This record gives sequence, C-alpha cells and structure tokens, in this order.
Amino acid sequence: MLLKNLTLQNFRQYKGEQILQFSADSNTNVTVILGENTSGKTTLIQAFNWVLYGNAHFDTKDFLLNLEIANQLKRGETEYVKVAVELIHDDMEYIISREQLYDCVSYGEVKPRQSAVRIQYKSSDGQTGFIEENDVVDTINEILPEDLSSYFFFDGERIGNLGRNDKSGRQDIAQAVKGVLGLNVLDNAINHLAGGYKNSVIGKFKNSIDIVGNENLIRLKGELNAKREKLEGKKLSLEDVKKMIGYYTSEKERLEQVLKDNKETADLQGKIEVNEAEIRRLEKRISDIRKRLINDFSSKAPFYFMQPLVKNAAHLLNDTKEFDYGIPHMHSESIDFLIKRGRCVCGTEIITGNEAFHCLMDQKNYLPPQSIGTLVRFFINDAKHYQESSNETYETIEERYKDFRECVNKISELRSENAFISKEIQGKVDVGQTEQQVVQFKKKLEDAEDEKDSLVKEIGSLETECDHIDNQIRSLAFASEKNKHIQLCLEYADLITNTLKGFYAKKEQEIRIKLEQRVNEIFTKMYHGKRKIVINEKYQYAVETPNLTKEFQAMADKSTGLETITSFAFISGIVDLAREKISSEDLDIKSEPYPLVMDAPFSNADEKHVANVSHILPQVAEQVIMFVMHKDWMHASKVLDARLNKKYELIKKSETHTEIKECK
Amino acid sequence: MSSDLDHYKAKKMIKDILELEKNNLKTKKLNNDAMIDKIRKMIEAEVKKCY
Repeated sequence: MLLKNLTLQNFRQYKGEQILQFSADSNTNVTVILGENTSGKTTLIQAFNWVLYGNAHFDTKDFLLNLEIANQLKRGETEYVKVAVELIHDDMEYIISREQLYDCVSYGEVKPRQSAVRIQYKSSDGQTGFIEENDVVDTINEILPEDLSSYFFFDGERIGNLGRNDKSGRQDIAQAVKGVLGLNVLDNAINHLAGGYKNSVIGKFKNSIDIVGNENLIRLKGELNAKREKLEGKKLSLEDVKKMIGYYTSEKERLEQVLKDNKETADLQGKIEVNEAEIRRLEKRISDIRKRLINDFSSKAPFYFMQPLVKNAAHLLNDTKEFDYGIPHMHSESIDFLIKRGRCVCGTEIITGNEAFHCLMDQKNYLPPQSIGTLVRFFINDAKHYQESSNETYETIEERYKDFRECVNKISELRSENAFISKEIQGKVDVGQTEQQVVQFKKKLEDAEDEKDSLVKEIGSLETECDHIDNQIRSLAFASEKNKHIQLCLEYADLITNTLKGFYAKKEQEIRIKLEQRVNEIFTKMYHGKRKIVINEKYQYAVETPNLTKEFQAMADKSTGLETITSFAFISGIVDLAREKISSEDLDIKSEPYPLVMDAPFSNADEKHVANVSHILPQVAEQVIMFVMHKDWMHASKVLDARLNKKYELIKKSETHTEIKECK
Repeated sequence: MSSDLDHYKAKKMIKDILELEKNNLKTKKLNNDAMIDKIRKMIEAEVKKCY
C-alpha cells in the first residue's frame, strides 16, 4: 500500500480544504511535514486513523469540526468534516473518504451525526466504481488491517516508549508480536474456549451438566461454585496487586532515573552536608579554644603583664642591703614575751600604750616572720618563679588564638561554599527527598511482591481443589446417559484448547526470535558500536555490551540516544514483520510496499543518531512520511535531502486554524 | 479422557473456529458472549453428527 494524498476539510484546526501530497517515488520516497509543537502534526496522524477506522484519539474525540467554522454556524445550519485518503494497493487506486455532518441545534450548540465512510476505486484498466457499503470495512482491513495499523502510524510518545523498556513499551511490543503473526486470532479463540470458568465454552458446557436428583452432584457443584467464586476473587485481587506492582515499579524506575539525571545535584547536596558537619566540628573546637584562652588569660596574664615591673623591682631589691632592719636571731614572739612580761631586757617597764610599748611594736615589723628582709627575700624568689612561668604564656596564648582564627576562617570558607552550591542547585530536584521516595517505593514493591506470591500460591491451591472436584463431578455425572453428550463436547473443547495453546506458545517464540533478528539487523546499521539487543519471553529487552559479564551488563551506560536508536530498530523490525505477514496472506504472494508515518521521530536523538536513523528509515519502508520540528530537521536534512521529494510546513494562524503550505 | 475422539474432526473444528475468529477480528460484529455461544454450538453440532 502506498499513500498518494490526504485531503482534510474542516478537520480540527485544518479549516477549509487542505491537501498533502505524498511521494511514492522509489528513490526519493521521503515526505516531510515541518511544524512546531501544537501546530497540528499529531492531528494529521489521527486523520489517517479516523478516515480508515473511524477512530480519533483526542480529548474531544466526538467533536472534530473546526471550531471557527462551528462558531459561525447559525441555528438550523449544517457543516461537515471530511477526510479523504487516496492510496494504491494491489495495483488498484482507492479513495477512502469519511464524512461527518454537524448540525447547529441552537446558538452555541452544535451536534455531530454518525460518520459515514465510502470507497471509490479505479483499477489498472481504468474501471471505476464504489465498493458496496457492506464490504467497506473488509476492504479497508484487507488494505491495512486495523490491528496492524498502529505499526505503520507512529506517534512520538510510542516511539519513546518502545525504546525505554518500560511497561508500556513492553506491552506495545507484545501486542505487535500478537498482531503481526495473527496470534490475536489464536489468543481470542483460546480465551473464548477456556478464558473464564463461567464465561467460556468449556465453562458453559460444565454448567450445563445435569445434576437434578443427584444429591452428591448437587453438593459437589455447590462446593465447586463456592471455590470458583473464591478463586475469581483471588484472581481479581492478583490483578489489582499486579497493577500496583506495575505502578510502584514504574514510579521507582522514574525516580531512579531522576536520581541518575540529577547525580550532579546529589553530589553537590552531599558536599553541603559534609561541609555542615565540618562546620559543626569547627564550632565546637572554637568553643573549646575560647574556654582555654579565657582560662589561660585569667590564670597567667596578670603575671605576664606584671613581668617588667616585677623584674625591675627584683633587680632593685637584689642590689639593696638597706631593707634588713631586723635584730639578728630575734623573733616577733620575743617581743610578745617582753610585752607580756611587762619589762624590757634593759629593765624599762612596758605598759600598753607607753613609749617602750610603741617602740617594741614598731620593732616587731622588722622581725620574722614579718621582717622586711624576709619579705624581700620571699618576693625575689617569687619574682623568679613568676618570670619562669610567664615565659611560655605569650606563646601559648598566641598559638591558641592562631588556632581560633584558623577555625573561624575555615568556617567562613565553608559557609561561602555552601551558599554558592545552594544557589547552583536552587530549583533543582531535592535528591534527598527523592532517595527517600525510592526507598518507600522499594518497600511497597517488596510487600506487593510478597502479596502476589501468596495470592499465586492460594490460586494454585484453589485451582487444584477445583480440578479435583471437577473430576469427581465428571466421573459421577457422566455415568448418566443424559450427560454423555456434554462429556464428549467437553473433551473436544479441551483437546482444541490444548492444541491451540501449544501452537500459540510455539509460534510466539518463533516470532519473538524472528523479531529479535530483524531488530538486530537494523540496530547494527543505525548504531555505531558493537552492542546487540536481546528480547526475553516477557518482551523485556536488554542491550548487551560485548566482553562484559552478566553482572556488569546493567552498569553499562544507556543514553537517551541509545533508547532512540532502539525504538527505531523495534519500529523497523515490527514494520518488516507486519509487511511480511500482510503479504503472506495474499494467495498470490508478492512483496507489497508499505508506508511508515511517524510523528516527531527525532525528539530525543542527538545529531549523530539522527543522521544514522535518517539514513536507515527510507531503506526500511518504501514510503516515509515524517512530521518533524524545525530544530530536528536541521540535522536530519543533511542525510535525507537526497531522498526528499515533498516538503510542507504547518503554519499556525491561530489556536484553531493551521494551514498547510508546500515548500518548493 | 475418552479414546473415541476423532482428531480429524478436532482439526476441522479448530480450522472453523479460527476462521470465525479471523472474520470477527475484522468485522467486530459479534461480542464475546456471542462468540462463545457460536463456538459452543459449533462443537455441539459436530459432536452430534457422529455420536
């Protein structure tokens, strides 16, 4: 199938009639439509979905009429939305058009009618006509089956998801595998045959077993129903737990990615914490130094400052012999004795207050222990001692003060550094909080996994018990003639189900391996490196780096650019398989070309990868139609210009009006 | 399980069921309940033919 053109009439922001022509040339097979965000690129991809299948994934999916047109409608007036796509399939030209009328029922109230689709054809021999209304849907599905269409029309979000190896990406790949090989058909058949214990072919056969009049059967049936109810309840709980696990996992992965993207911020926050700890340590040290300084000053400073005075005094006293007024070998106690006796050695009477008394009291000042000479001697000794001890005082205080200043300066430095770092990380993610959230989600995930394991065990036990009762019912029930027919139907249903399940498992594995091969063929052409992609049975993929053991694979760097390349490799691989599948369904097997329509394919790729992807895409699909932003086109055009045939620009006139302009 | 099952008959039923599913995937005319009913009746009819 090749697209020739797309015509839009009043479809969303495309007011009036606007046409896009697509290149179908085998050499210059690229059509580019340039447009910034909100200019209407995604609307164009949705236009394909709507015209072919009547689907449109907008918030206002039921209202597609251009709002300016709708606003101008008067009561009783009608306007229409129309999209038409002209294409070539199997040597036949088709014009598929879908139209929807809108009626203005009152001022400001415009209501849509049911849309109608028709197909006009023109064969290679010039014959034209319209496809019968009843055959329209079948014809569209023959051209491009709806379940495969999403592998030919890619929007930017899906492109990103495929490469990110998250839940939505894996589901997308799993769906691709089912759709591509017709596993959807098998999957549906298996579900209808044995999907639920009530709502399935096997369930209905079991429920139709006649138990009337048989007490044992009635009892067993009752038991079985009760166990089945419990089992269904557990299965629902398991689904809920799986959803929670999915949610917790994706949140944890998202937050871990945030931490990874903000490693620099984390390091800076760590530095702040280290600095703050050091500041606290230095502040304590300053407090200790302060106490010691005060202590030293209190105890030693007076002697230090007294030093010059004491030194001079000691010198003076040392040189002077005049201070020795004392009577040799006489003590102050001798004077006391004489005063007490009342008579001096010379015979003079000593009475308290007389002259002799005063002379003796005066003399007492010059006798030990109060003799000036003694005091002077003591003073000279003390002065020597003070001098010695205060020699180190200055150095000690100086050292302590130096230490004090260093701590103060260091604290000031660290505070400045922290202020600078805080400014740097202002507005950025709070890494500490994010780390806490990761821990919380890990715990929730652990608990949910435990709950899941417990439910799985319970479900397993219940299923075994149900099977056991089931077998008892069967052996009792099928003794009766009435139930023998049902027994046979059940046996055939079981046989068919088991055969289909076996076939499904085998085919799914085959296609998954095939997909892995195709993806790697394309990946090696796009990626400058020696990595390869491996897909497991859960559709989780891993990008393996050569020469690394399993333990170190997860640590190898995985950039956004690698994710983008991986997305494109998957898209190309899936498109390849889808084409093969569609072609193989024709009796006359030939290789039908198919287009690849992509919205914002380069958003997350760097210049080198844009070039690689641009180089490979035109080779993967016969027709490439891209909706691209100007900034991305700058890099892609260097490679794609040689394959470019048509180029358009989306000109946003207003929020409700975009025009398509061809760039010559 | 009874050993009287005709595997050729079973293969035919598989083919018919898959054809039914393939058509319904395209046309989406029948919902799940209707499909289950149709398949059940198909098996009953085939089993009735020879037994």
